[in-house]
Amino acid sequence: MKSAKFDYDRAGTLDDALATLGNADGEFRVLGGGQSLGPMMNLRLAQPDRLIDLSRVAGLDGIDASGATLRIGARVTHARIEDGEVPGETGAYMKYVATGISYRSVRNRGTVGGSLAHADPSADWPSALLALGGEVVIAGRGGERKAPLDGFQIGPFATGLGYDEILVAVELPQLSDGTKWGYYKVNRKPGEFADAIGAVVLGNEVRAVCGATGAAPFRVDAIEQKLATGATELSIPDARDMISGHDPGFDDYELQIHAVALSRAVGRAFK
Amino acid sequence: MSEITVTINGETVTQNVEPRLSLADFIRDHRRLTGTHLGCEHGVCGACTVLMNGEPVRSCITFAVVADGAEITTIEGFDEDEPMTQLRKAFHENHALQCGYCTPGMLVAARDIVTRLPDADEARVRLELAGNLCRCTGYVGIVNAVLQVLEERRV
Amino acid sequence: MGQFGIGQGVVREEDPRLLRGRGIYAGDVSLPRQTYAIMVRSPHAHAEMRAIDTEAAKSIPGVLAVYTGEDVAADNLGVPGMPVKWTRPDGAPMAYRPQPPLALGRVRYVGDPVALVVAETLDAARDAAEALTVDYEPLPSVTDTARTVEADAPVIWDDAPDNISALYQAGDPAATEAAFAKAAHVVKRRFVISRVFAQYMEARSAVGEYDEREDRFTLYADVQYPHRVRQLLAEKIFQVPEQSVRVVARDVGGGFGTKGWQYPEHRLTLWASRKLGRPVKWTCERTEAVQADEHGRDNVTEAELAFDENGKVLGLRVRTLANIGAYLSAIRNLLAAYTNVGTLVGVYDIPAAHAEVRTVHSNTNPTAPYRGAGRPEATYVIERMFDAAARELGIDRTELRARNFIPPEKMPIKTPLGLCYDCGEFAANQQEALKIADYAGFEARREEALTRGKLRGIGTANPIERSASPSPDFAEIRFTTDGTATILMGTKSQGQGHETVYKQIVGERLGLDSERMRVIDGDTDRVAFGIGTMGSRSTVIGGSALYRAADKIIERAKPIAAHMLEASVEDMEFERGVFAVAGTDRTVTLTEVAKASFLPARLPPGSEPGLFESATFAPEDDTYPNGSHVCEVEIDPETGETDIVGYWVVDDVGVVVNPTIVKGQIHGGVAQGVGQVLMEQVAYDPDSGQLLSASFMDYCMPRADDFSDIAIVSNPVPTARNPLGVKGAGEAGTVGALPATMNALLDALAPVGVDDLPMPATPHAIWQAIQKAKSAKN
Repeated sequence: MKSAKFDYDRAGTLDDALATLGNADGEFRVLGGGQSLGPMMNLRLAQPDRLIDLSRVAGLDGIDASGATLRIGARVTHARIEDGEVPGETGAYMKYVATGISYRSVRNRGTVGGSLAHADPSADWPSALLALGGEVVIAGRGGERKAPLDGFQIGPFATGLGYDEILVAVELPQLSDGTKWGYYKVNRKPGEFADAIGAVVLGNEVRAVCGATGAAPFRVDAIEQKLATGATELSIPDARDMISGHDPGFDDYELQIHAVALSRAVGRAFK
Repeated sequence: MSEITVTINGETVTQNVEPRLSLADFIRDHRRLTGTHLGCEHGVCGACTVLMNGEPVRSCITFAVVADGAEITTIEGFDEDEPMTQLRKAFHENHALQCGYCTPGMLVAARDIVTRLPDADEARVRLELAGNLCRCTGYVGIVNAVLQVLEERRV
Repeated sequence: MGQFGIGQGVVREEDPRLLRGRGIYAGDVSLPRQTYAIMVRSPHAHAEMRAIDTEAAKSIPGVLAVYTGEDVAADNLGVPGMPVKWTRPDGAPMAYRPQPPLALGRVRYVGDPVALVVAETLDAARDAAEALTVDYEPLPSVTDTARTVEADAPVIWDDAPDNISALYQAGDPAATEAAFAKAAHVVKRRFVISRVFAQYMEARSAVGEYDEREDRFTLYADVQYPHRVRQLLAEKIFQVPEQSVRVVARDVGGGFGTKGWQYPEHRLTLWASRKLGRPVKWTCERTEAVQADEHGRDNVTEAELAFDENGKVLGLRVRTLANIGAYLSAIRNLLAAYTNVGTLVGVYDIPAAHAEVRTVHSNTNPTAPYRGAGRPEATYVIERMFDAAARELGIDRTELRARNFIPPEKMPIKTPLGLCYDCGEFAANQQEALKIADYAGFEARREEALTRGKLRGIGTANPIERSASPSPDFAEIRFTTDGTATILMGTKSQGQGHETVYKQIVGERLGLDSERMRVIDGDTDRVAFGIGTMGSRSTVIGGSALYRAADKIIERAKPIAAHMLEASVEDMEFERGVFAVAGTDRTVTLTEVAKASFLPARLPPGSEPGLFESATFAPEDDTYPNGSHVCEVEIDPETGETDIVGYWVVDDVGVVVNPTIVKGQIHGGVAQGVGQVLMEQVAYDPDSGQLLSASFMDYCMPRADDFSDIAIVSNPVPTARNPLGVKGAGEAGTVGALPATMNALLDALAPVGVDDLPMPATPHAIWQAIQKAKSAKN
């Protein structure tokens, strides 16, 4: 239960980190809070050759609500979000999600950017933020680019992030006060990874996300249409049918708990 | 090897460590502070919980190199700490420990609850404690001890 | 009652050091020049080892040695031995199949030790372990208990193609047959009890040191039985005098029966230390623990209960397959399967019974005692049978039980499976439990839950356990010249609070204050003799030995006190630490007597200075802790998730020395029982035999938010089988929790047509059972 040998770089600047990544000769991994990577390395499920620690890189831990969109730095921890540092209705939604992530001692270290980049299919932020919509901000040696959260995660532990890129922030819509949202997780134990996630946000656009799917979370268009046309509840059988339309490869129980998650997320949104 | 400087329980030490050395092993094997226990080494059981810059973290999944510049408080470093003193008394009075192996991490987690969530009720206490496994007590004494300290701190 | 005596819920003596992180567990032990060991374990459930290539491992810098089975075999280490011989169903003798400390030729489960790597650092040892290559030829494997005896099942031992180790029987088959012949109603059920693991928070460690100067081994390890480990290592393994081995166990981070006496790492670290001339430290990792350690439970039972037309039980017939794993190293591997079969009749007046247990081999870890060790399994069967029968007969579950309780006036009673219950108020226990749980008001709670879409259920069980079986243990009280007492015990605490309980017993008898006593256990050099802590025996047997030692102290101190008070011995009275001359105000304290005992001038002529006494106690018969459990649950039928919403226990553990500690034992025991029913499992892939639940991510442990409060009321009926009147409390919670929890789940699901659930009853399993029942209805 100890990690395999690796080299370690404490990057001073983003450019240093990007340069190291660009010259990678092996598996180089960016270290955020390390709360997902750490266990995987101790279990030797992950054996990177080099870790690039971003903790000394300035400018990655800000929360900026001054613009039209809300910009949250990649190194913002779940605990800071839980403690309400993200303002407004978006902040209320994120606070709710953050409070349910693992345990406080993990939330103190784990980061939003790390969660999105690590792309564990059972993690909260990939599903929760997909339901908000928005973009990830990605730094590369050629400068910054943005990519929509839609389609950013492409599979289990797989995203559109290049090997020489670093996720530096996420830009999210500022929900107006009173926007309806609901988030529901089915998990064997609170705090452990989810078995099913349902997330719905009825903002400028209606988004309904089926998460913890074993692969990437996906939006359920039939549920979004139903909610967009005024529905205020979603039965489990309807949810099962609508999720099935996406051919997620669930067995009967997986389909059931994902339907329950979405049905109850809708229920919470309209409670 | 990487050089790190860490303050543990008020004592600042500078040392070369392998990058793969966990903070827990640094504390236990290099600093000989064996009150921090290893229960699972994959971040589930919470026995290794210590304070890092005042916040509880799991020292088994935190590399020592990452703690460079940090202030660490282990179970051995709380003797002057008021909430910990209250918790130790309450754990003692409520039979909140048996074998004692989970206790150091449990106390650090409990200290976080009583300082961060002064209004927590039993359900919240149980939820917040769910990140620390105990095999002996059925959690009854632990929950009662934390509730007792929350109550004491409210008056 | 003394100020620090029996019956008081005093706070624990152990707590101050443990609350400040000052405990010393086996993994905290580090010795000068220590080396680090890693065990290489089989990744296959069943395989022939064609070759082991150690070269790459040995070439890693810092590696001191890589040992395989042949290296160990070359040194002719002994085996634990098997003192008792059972027979197979065909009458042939049971084969003794000890596990080699490192496998020879064939590996028989995932985790079977294959090689030992010793290095200057743990990192080097680990890297070398990864570099070691073994050429395996995988063989077909079987891990599932029922599957082991199917005709085409893979064979673990070539000379036992049916995989059966032996047959154990209890009761009278002919009388049972006759009882069933006249039955008005027979209930039949099949139960599968899952395989679980103790998962003590402290995974095991062993630090072995061979001291060439003294030609002596010292083992620092977390064991429940220091003297037994010493005996095994000395007499059986190394074949040296027992004085040549010392075993030290200080704070132990949980044991639950599973920190046993025959683990290979104990002998291997000592053996390697002798070869290398340096101490060898091995620390088990969490994901290694499920592979390295003994497992618990794992059996399949077919039970039949015969009733007359009035709901009175006439007979019980039970046939069990008990999975003992790949090896049979010692009697330890048969304890859970065989020795607690007797309590299958529960607290009920059953005229005839017959039980057969076939122990079977499989490609799994050896099984051995785990909290209850056969007792929860037995109680599970009889208590589930009563629920099943009540449904079939249309009689309330608690009423059916009440019709069959053994009444107090019928005790002592010899039960048909051979045990002799001495006392207990079974009907009163149930009555009180139903009262505190408001059983009568339950249907209203069920209705209310239904309005929230929840299925609520209530379940009961009336456990009884055979505890503290006749075997001796030891206590010694040594006074020092300042009049303080050192108490040395042959039992070994693993968190039960022995230091506190033993001081209370001495406090009661000798009137000493806590601060004038020190309790020592877990060191074979300091404590003369011991068996250890298992089977809820420590307070019963160790405590009784201590009580007797205290009596001897009084007897020995009395003439000194008389001499000091210039009175005759016959006139001396002793109470609460003070000797008095009857009818006068002349007194002297035991502390003063103890001080004086070291001063020859103050002693009666011809007497021997000093004040030291020891005693052993071996009860003549078992004790029978018993009680009544009620569990209330709510199930979310849409997800299959269960909430424990209430748990109540009435317990009779005899005289309660420390009510707080007894409650703690029951709380923890209940949690382990509920854990097994709802979430815990050692799971194997049925095809490959691969272990699927090695980490805490896969082995689901009970957490704080899985429980409600657990309410406990005591109904103590003292036993006359030991001087303290205590019955044992360590296992009581688990024994009742298995059936009470499962009965509650099945009660909740009865309205939707579910009549059985697998163990563990995970949300997935519950939801599937509901769907199956629904489709059966349609």
